[in-house]
Amino acid sequence: MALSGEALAVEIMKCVRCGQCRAVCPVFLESGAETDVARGRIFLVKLLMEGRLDGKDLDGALSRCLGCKSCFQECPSGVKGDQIVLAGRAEMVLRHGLGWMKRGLYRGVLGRPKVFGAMVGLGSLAQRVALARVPRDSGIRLRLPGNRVPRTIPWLPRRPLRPKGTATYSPGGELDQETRSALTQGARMGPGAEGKTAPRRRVLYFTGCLTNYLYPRIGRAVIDVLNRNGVEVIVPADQTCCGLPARGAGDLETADRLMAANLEAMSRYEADAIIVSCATCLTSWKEDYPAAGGTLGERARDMAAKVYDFSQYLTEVLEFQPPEGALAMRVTYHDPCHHFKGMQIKKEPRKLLKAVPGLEFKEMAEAERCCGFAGSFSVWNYDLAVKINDRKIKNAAATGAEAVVTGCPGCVMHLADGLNRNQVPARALHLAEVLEMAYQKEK
Amino acid sequence: MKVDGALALEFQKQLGAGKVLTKETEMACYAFDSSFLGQLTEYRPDAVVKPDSAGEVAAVMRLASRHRIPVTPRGAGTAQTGGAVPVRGGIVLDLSSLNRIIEVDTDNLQVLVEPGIVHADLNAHLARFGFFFPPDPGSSRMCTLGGMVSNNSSGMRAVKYGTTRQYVLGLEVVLPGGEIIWTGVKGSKALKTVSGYDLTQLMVGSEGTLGIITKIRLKILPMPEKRGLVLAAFDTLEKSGEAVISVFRNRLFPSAIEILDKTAIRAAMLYKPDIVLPQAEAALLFEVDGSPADVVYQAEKIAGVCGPLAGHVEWTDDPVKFGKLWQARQVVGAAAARVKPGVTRVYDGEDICVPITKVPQALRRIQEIGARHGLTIVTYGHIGDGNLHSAVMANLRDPAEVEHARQATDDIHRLALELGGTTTGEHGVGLTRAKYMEEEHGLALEVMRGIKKAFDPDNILNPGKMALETVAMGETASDKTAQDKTAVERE
Ligand SMILES: Cc1cc2nc3c(=O)[nH]c(=O)nc-3n(C[C@H](O)[C@H](O)[C@H](O)COP(=O)(O)OP(=O)(O)OC[C@H]3O[C@@H](n4cnc5c(N)ncnc54)[C@H](O)[C@@H]3O)c2cc1C
Ligand code: SF4
Ligand code: SF4
Repeated sequence: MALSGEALAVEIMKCVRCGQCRAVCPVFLESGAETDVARGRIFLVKLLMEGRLDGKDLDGALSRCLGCKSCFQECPSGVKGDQIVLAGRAEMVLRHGLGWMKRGLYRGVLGRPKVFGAMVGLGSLAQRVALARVPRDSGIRLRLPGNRVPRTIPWLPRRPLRPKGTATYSPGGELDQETRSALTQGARMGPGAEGKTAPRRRVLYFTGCLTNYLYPRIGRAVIDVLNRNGVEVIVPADQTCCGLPARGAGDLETADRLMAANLEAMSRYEADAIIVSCATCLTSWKEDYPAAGGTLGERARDMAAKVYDFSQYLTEVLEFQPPEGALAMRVTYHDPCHHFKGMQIKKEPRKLLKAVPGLEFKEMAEAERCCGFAGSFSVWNYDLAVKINDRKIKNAAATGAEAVVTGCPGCVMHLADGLNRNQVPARALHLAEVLEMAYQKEK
Repeated sequence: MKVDGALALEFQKQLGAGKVLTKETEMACYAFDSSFLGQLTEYRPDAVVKPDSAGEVAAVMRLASRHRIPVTPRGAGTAQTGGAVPVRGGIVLDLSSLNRIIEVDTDNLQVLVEPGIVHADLNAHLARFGFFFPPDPGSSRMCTLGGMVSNNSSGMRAVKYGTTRQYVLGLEVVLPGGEIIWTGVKGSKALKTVSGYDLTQLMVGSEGTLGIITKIRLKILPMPEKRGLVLAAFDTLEKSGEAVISVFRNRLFPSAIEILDKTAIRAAMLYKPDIVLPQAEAALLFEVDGSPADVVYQAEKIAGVCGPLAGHVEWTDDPVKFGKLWQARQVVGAAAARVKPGVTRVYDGEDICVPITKVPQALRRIQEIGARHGLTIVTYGHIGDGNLHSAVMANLRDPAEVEHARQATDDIHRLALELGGTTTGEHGVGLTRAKYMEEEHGLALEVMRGIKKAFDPDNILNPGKMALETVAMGETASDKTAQDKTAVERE
């Protein structure tokens, strides 16, 4: 449950206004305005809750929060600035309806998988017609409505990752071309498949929207790497958006509906664990769902104990089998905010990268600094997101890495955009993709 | 006068639209700093102006003085006194984007910076050259040099390195009418001067009431090669006081001496259980710095001096262990607010300074004040110069408790005066401590008021602070402040 009532008032009171969040809030560091830092936003939510501000102007201050938790991590008094902002947004939705933050995106698209699927399908078609000559690798440059700067988004795939029904992928050594295309089309359906070796474990894969619709290649890599480590992967049907974008916009009703659907979808199968490869989805499963009230909350708390980030599962639960193929490449790693600041995941991805033969790992300055994506933030505040991102790209470029690796498809997208915009000759990759590349080098 | 729409437009014409803020939400966010007063009352400006150069500051001041609009300079708004809060409305001049390091001249031991530079950013830059600007406030990561000069801030190492004052060589200042002057001999890079009245030192600690600082020429020092730390625990407060005095008597000169009383020891351990401190009435931390050999010599000697008085002594010059021990001191400020759920720390009565010999007595009396008002108070501070930070904890949503907090903080201030000290050692006067100015200064306050008049005859610069306004017969400065407050509350 989002903060509300008494708990919210106490959380707000805890802010002593020392201003220490000025040292870390990425939005403030670019704009320099007190409305753009936790202590300002917290005060505005206080005014809103006490009925001293009607909120005409408030959308700017609240929508410009990345939810990156940098303020919480830095705050000597332990104030949850990001959560207070969420509570403020929820209040705004109650009072002014969803219109204040772009209604369509959350209720109309992310909340309805079919609509999202259809939009991606259409977009894909449109791209193919209009941008036929743009090379696939470079991504495409697209003007989103209201944004003045061209924005690179990935080449929209023809089909989402998830097939119509539940799919099961069993370990069977290296995936041949046929299996690979079957994977994308969801041909190997139904539980249990004809794997060559008996699976050591069985997991459920919660894909998240970005992986499903925009980056199926990341999802395939996750499945492949797990398979190669002897794990059977089930991708349950009927899973949907994790709900964080809706929660972030203050649309708690939609967020709760999506949560219920996901809890239902993921509890239909027996498995050792639920694997997530998106930092945002991980936050939903680990923090937001368990905070729900009633029986739903109880169920969520039970399930949350079984939810692992991809990198955590490989390093902490499995005996990770490092790839034998050498990958001669220099890489650096960007910590997604929801990993590092939310979940303290930092060592795991580095351990995995360092296990890849031939790979040279070079730490960048400020690796844990936000990349500026924050879901819808970068859509509606693109100019500011670009500034925050430029700093990230500069730090990444300084390492001379050929690939900027990260653990979240959202960061992959924003990093790719930044590398492209700054003409840095490096790729943005998900950790799973790098591991998969190394396995593929195995003879 | 108020900044109305037409006037706001005129400011925008001079500076560009992006640098003049007027939205309701924006005004609300500039209505406070970290002071207790700011938590209780909102002082909203009519406009916030964010200049980029001294020229722009001068343009703002010319316009403001023509229309007699109050102007309150602001750095990061971290002060605990309401100093950067616009008590009379008007303009808040946010100087935090004026933040360039203009020149680093290590051979001449100085830097030239703009006032918006953040303390930690300056020292990170200087560290590359092996130099540093010694005053070290706890707010290093957010406070600006302009705020530090205006409040004459300092920190733990003031024992050896003094306060900001010692390092300010010259200033570029925009006067209330918009004229630009240099103090400390224009264009000079000399490290000393006795030419003329020392306007530089007059500006230091003037809390934005005399002029707007737009450039700062600062003295810097080479970084010491090594640091060491001695931790000693005592079973009475008196013994900790005696230990400090014996250290000085033995001709030892630590860079910092910090004290944690038993409330602070408990708070630190509650907050970070891996911090292990001895159970004691008081713990002292001595920091020594210098050459590696010197550090060992001093640390051993301090440990030896404390030995007979303390129940427990240890020392280290290992950087890792050093960091762990110092952590205990560094977290108490934050830990204080976490000792009791449902309360928050208030910044008031947080900065008294008493003679070193009176520190044990002050610590005990502060606990009595807390007990009398039913409030938790955690105290720690710079015993090396008698500067104590009391963290009074209160539930701000309970009016009775707020009233107790007001009284307790007043009691703490009065205690400082009774013990032959002062209400503020490093945080400043602002609004919070204006009511003690007459008592602390007597006739000298009249001289200060005369100086204020000479600089700012129309009283447009940071009005309502430091009891500088000449008040009508029979009315005291604190009455005037009280009037200000009720006026705003009524609005
Ligand atoms: C957690 C915490 C710890 C702290 N620790 C310490 C400490 O250890 N030691 C210490 O001394 N203080 C400490 N402080 C107090 C405070 O941080 C200092 O006084 C600091 O120097 C204020 O800087 P600022 O940029 O925030 O100034 P502000 O609060 O913005 O302003 C302070 C005063 O300076 C004036 N001013 C600011 N800039 C200018 C300018 N360019 N020209 C003219 N006037 C100007 C303002 O009008 C105001 O009166 C602490 C505060 C906090 C919240
Ligand atoms: S959110 Fe935390 S760091 Fe920021 S002003 Fe409030 S107490 Fe200080
Ligand atoms: S969550 Fe991130 S963007 Fe939002 S206020 Fe905190 S630091 Fe700033």
